[in-house]
Parts: sequence; C-alpha cells; structure tokens
Amino acid sequence: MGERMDITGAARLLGSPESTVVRWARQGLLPCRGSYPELRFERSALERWARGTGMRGRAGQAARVDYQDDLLAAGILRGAVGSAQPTDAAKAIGFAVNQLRDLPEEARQEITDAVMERERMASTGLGRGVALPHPRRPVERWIKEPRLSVLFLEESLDWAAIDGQPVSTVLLLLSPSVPMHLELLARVSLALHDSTLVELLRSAPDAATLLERVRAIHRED
Amino acid sequence: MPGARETLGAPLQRVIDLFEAREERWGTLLVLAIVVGLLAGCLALGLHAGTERLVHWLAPLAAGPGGIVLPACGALLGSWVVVSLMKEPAGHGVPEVVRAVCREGGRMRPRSIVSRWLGSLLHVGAGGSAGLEGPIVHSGAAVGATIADRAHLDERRRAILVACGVAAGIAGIFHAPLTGLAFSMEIVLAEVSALSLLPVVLAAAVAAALAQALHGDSTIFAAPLELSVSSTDLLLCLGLGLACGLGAVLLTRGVGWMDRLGGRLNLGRLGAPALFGVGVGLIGFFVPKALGDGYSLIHEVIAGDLSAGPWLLAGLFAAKLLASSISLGSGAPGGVFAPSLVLGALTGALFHRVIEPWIPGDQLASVGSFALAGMGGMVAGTLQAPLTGILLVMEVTGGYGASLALMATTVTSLLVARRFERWSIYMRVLAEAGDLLRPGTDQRILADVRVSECLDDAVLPIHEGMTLADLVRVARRTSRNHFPVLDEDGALVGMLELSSVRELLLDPELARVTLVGTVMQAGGARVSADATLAEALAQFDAANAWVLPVVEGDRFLGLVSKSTLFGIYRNELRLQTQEG
Repeated sequence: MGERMDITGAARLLGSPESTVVRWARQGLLPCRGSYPELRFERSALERWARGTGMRGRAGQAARVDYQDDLLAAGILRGAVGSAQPTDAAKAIGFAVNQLRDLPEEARQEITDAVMERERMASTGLGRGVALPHPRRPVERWIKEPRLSVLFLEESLDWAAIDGQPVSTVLLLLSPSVPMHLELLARVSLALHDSTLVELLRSAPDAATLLERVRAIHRED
Repeated sequence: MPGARETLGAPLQRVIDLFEAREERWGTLLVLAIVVGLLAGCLALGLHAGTERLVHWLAPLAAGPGGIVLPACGALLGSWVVVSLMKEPAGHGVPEVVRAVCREGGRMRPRSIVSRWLGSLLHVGAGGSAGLEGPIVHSGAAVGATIADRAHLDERRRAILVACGVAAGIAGIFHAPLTGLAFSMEIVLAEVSALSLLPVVLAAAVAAALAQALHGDSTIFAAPLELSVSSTDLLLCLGLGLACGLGAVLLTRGVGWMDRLGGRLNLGRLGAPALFGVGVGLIGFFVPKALGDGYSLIHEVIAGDLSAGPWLLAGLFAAKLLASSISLGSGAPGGVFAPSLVLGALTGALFHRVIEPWIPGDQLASVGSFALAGMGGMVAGTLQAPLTGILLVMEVTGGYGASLALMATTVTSLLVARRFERWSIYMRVLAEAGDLLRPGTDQRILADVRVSECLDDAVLPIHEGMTLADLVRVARRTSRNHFPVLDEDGALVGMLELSSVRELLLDPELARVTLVGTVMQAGGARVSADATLAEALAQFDAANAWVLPVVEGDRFLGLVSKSTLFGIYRNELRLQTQEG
C-alpha cells in the first residue's frame, strides 16, 4: 500500500490540471478508487501509470526566473565595493575583478580575459558616468551566484561611452547563467533610473551607504 | 469520386446504384471484390496446377544424380525472374504485402501479379522446400491493388481490395473462405471494420466456390477429413501446443539464421539461392520427402500411411526444417505457410507416436487427428495467426467437433511462440525496419511527416555581435518572437526569444551595451530538415522549447514551432483515418 493522495495531489504528481485528472478518472484511463469528488489515488500506481503511458505532464515547462529577493543587494554583498585610480579602462577592469574575495588566481585571469573580450567588441559605457563591464557569456565555472563588483574611480576615465562622458563608476557584473544575467540587468536598469542613486554614485559612497539606497529602491518597487 | 463510372458499363452502373449505400461507394467495392475474388482464385488454382505439372515433368531428372542441382537451378531461375527480370525485392511475399498496406496505402505494381507467381513456380516445382501460399497472396494482393487503381479508389478502399485478393488467394488454395478471411484480417489488414468485412468475405467465398467448381469436394489434402477428439485429448493438446510452439520458434529462427548467413557470406541476391539450393538438393538426395511444398507428405501423415517410428519422424522433421530454412532463408521466392503445415503435421504425428504407449488405444485420437491439430498449432505459432490456424483445420475437416482441442493447441502454441519471438516470421523484417506502422496510428504519422514539411522560412536571422538596440530596429520589421542567431560565418549559434529580453529593450542605455550573443539561448538545440516528427518532438522535449531552428548540416533553413506541428499532425490524422 503506497501513499494515498487526493485529486490535488494526483494533479501535482502528474503535472496536469485537476480537471484533466478528473476526466481521466471518469473515462477509466487512470487507476483510482471511489467516485467524484471523493477520488482517491495511490502514488506508486500513478507513477507506474505515468511511466507506462509516457505521460510527461506539463511540469517540464520552464518557469521564468522570478525572484522576490533583492538580487542587487545580494550581488553587492557577495561582490565588493571599493575605489581605485587606474590609468585606463583595462586596468580598471583588472582592479574590479581583483577586489573580489575568494577567487583563485586562475579564476581571476579567466574572468578578466572574458570581460576584456567583451569590452573589445563594444564599449560597455552606458552614459551618465557609469560603465557595465561583463563577460561575453556567463563564466559558469567560477561564478555560481550573481556577484557585483562596484569600483569608484578617483579620476574618471575615458570609456568610449555612448554619450562621450568619462566614466567614474564601474559596475562589474558576473552571473552564473543567461536568465540570471538578464534578471540582474533588469535590476540594474531599475536602479539606474533612480536619480538619487546616480547622484550617490558620483560621491563614491561606502558599501553600507550604497546598500541602503539599493535596498530602498528595491522596497519601493 | 468518378472512375468506376467510366470503367464499367452504364447498365452495370445502374445495377450498382441500386445497392449504393450513400456516398460510400460500397456497391462498387462489393462488385470489385467479386472480380478480385475470381481473378485471385484463378491465379491460386493455376499456380498449384502449374507447379504440379512441373514436378511431374521434372520427376525423371529429379530421380537421377542431376536431382542434387535441380533445386539450385529452380531457386536460381526463380530468383532471377523476381529480382532481375521483374526488379522486385526478394522475399516471401506476405511481408511485402503488409508493408505496402502499412506504408504505401496498398499500392502495388501490376507486375507483382506474375513476378512471384512465376518465380515460385520455378523454385518449388524444381524441388525447393517452400510453399506457394505466400506468392499467391502476393499475386492476389497485386490484383486487388491494380483494380483499385483502375477504379480510382482511395487508400482505405484500396487496402480493402488488397485484403480481398489476399483472402481469395488463401481461400482458393484451401477451399476455405473463412480461413482466407481470417488470414487477411489477422495479418494484412489488422482490422475488421464494417466497411472491410463484407467485401473480403465475398471475395473469399467466390474464390472458394471457384475452387470447388473445378476440383469438387476434394481439398488440397486429398479428401475431406475426420477429426475426432476426446477429453483426454484436450489435455494432450496442451502438450502438443507446447511442442508446436517450440517448433514454430525453431522454424522462425532457422529461417532468420539462414538469411543472416546468406548476408554474411555476401553471395548476392542470385548467389545465395543458387548455393543454398545445392544444400537443399543434398538434403533431398537423402530425404526426398523434404523437398517441394510437402502436401503429399501431409496426405501420408494424415491418412496414417506413414509407417515410421519416432526417430524416423524426428529425422523427417529435422530434414524438412533444415531444407525449409535453407530454401526460405536464401531469398528464393516461396512462402512459409506450407512448410509450417508440414512441420505441424510431423509434430502431431511424432507427438502421437510418443504418447501412444502411455494411453489406452480407444481413448487416443488417430494420428491423423493429431497431425491436423499440429498443423493448426504450427500455423498459429509461426504466423502468429491463431484464428487462421483454427479455421483452416476446421474448414478442411468440414467440422467443428474438434474446435475445443484445436483452440487449446493453437492458443498454447501461440503463447509459447510469443514467449520467444515477439514478431512472427512475416513481421520480424518489417518491425526491424520500422515499417510495421498501421495507417492512422500515432507512430505512423510521427514517422511519415518530415520537419521540412513544417518549416517556416520567412524568418529574419540576427547576428550575435548586434546590440539589443539594433535588435529593436529588426524587430520592428517583423511580428515574430523568435530569432535565430548566426555568427560571422553564417553558422547557427543560438536562438533569441524576444520575450526573454523584453524589459531590456525598454531601456535604451542598457540595450545599447548588451549584445545579442550574451543574452541568447546558446547552443545546439536544433532540428534537421529531414528529421521525422517523432525525432523533432523528442528534440523539443529535450530543449524545453516551443520553437526550434531547422538546419541542413550547418546551414540555417528556418524555424519550426510546436504549434505548427500540432496542426500538421491533426491534418495527417484526418487524412489517414478518413471514413468517407
């Protein structure tokens, strides 16, 4: 005797709507006991049935990445916030990578190369003094969760940005997957629409102040 | 649908119209079924008469030393007719008919009416250890197909006329209309429907009546037979069924083994029959009874005229088994039906011989009865057609008294045979080639339709080096959501679904610094243009996608969507199961 379940449980197990499960039971296609609405199912019988009929249900459909969490804040916490005075964009990227903790040398090299490769294809200077360097494809080997390295430049650098303005804030974005990267970009986009935050960035704040504003933006959303 | 109205005369047409049931063209089908029955019946009778003549004519040659190479000559000539002259594939005949019905809507070439007919006449007439039933079935089926084409019938009705030809062929050989019906339903049509039943019965009855008119009451087994069975025999029939089942497996595997041997020796389609024919000739030199279709041997066994101890019977069985395996496995034209009847009769006789000492005389049925039951059992096991086996014995003995015993034997034999061989000797080749797909089934549709038929090539590919801002400009020109992404050599590197980057597109700053290559779904998920629907669906499942790119090698051809596939599947299903 296996685990007993009701219609709801059966529907979840089979990855199909409850109305479908009820219809199958009524048509004698599904092993069950009792009659509607007191239909009772048994787990192992259902599993055997699903295997035998090749039913895959609709549980396989990919759900969109939908996070309630404050990805940006979490990313900054896992990343780093700091300042430096590099002489050019390439060195700035190097600093941004190196200020991340817990990364072996091999990882730093690989990530830096990937980010530089992307930077060479087209500038990541957004405008309004912000640059968004990132690897061309997610570096899954080393990055298991989103990490943001925020580097404030004591002297702004030319970054061949769209608006021609020099860059004073470098946001290095590292994601484990494409969907996560897209989600992170969306959060960044939201944050950069906040004029208070953009102003704050120019002042090269410390981590705590930055996080406070980021969290506030997330709460408002 | 026009057609019959042009080919048949106006008065006949008026008669047909009297019986025409709505728009189903049923009347036409019935008339044509009668025609097919007559023609197929004639072919059946003609082949038997012709083969008998040839055997008689060659008898002096066969008796001498030349008899060793005679079967080889017959096999070679017969194969030459089928393969080289008529350019048809070698084979027993029945699998070809089944394949035609399953995959080609019952289409057969008119030359098939004579190809195997002539080929088997030469092969079996010269001593080849095979039967004429398969070739007759093939001829009859071709007759049905040809007439169906002349009358411009649709796929379903053509398949029915093919079944008519098959049933008529069998019915004509054995003077057994129900057996013909059972054979065509169990093996060829694999369905019995209101539409198909009556025409097939009609064709079979006509052929049997024709045979009756020409040969009187005598059947192929010489005289109407008795089959008496008592209650003890019922239990014994289970044992006989077991023996028949095992014998059926031996025959099926023997033929398959010889077939593979021929392939491995790489003798070619004419070399194998010739070489193997020498083997048959050698066997025939020592055991002449193992040659030919074996009906005279069956007569002897049934009549109890074969005075042989169990060892001799076993030896005869082995010789016939070997000879038939070689003849059939060589690819020379001939069928497996008659050899299984012979082996069944021998099994029955052997069983009787073995059991005899243990059962008091008056409680045991005659050796002839056991031989008949064995025949039914062997047919059930080899062809995996139990109904055919049962009805055959019932009809040739003209009685139903032994029905219980027969059923016990045939069903046991079938169960035993299926335990070892999933497919009958007819179906094995088809199943392995993936051709055993009945029309209107899910598997058939998924195997028939190719991705190239569902292709949408009005698609705008994009480049992986483009920014999302560039993409916005492209997206304006189309209403599509899915874009294939190509690299600078034009090779496919991924897909981009617009909805996945929707939010980014709304932010011009970010859109300008985000490359298509970074946010696309990279990788290999793609479908080949000549893939079947089944393969494509497997790809969709594995990639968890709704739209996939279609490629030919590396070249991008277009997109295919699951929703388009569904529409095409539905159309195909309607087409293949049309009632009207």
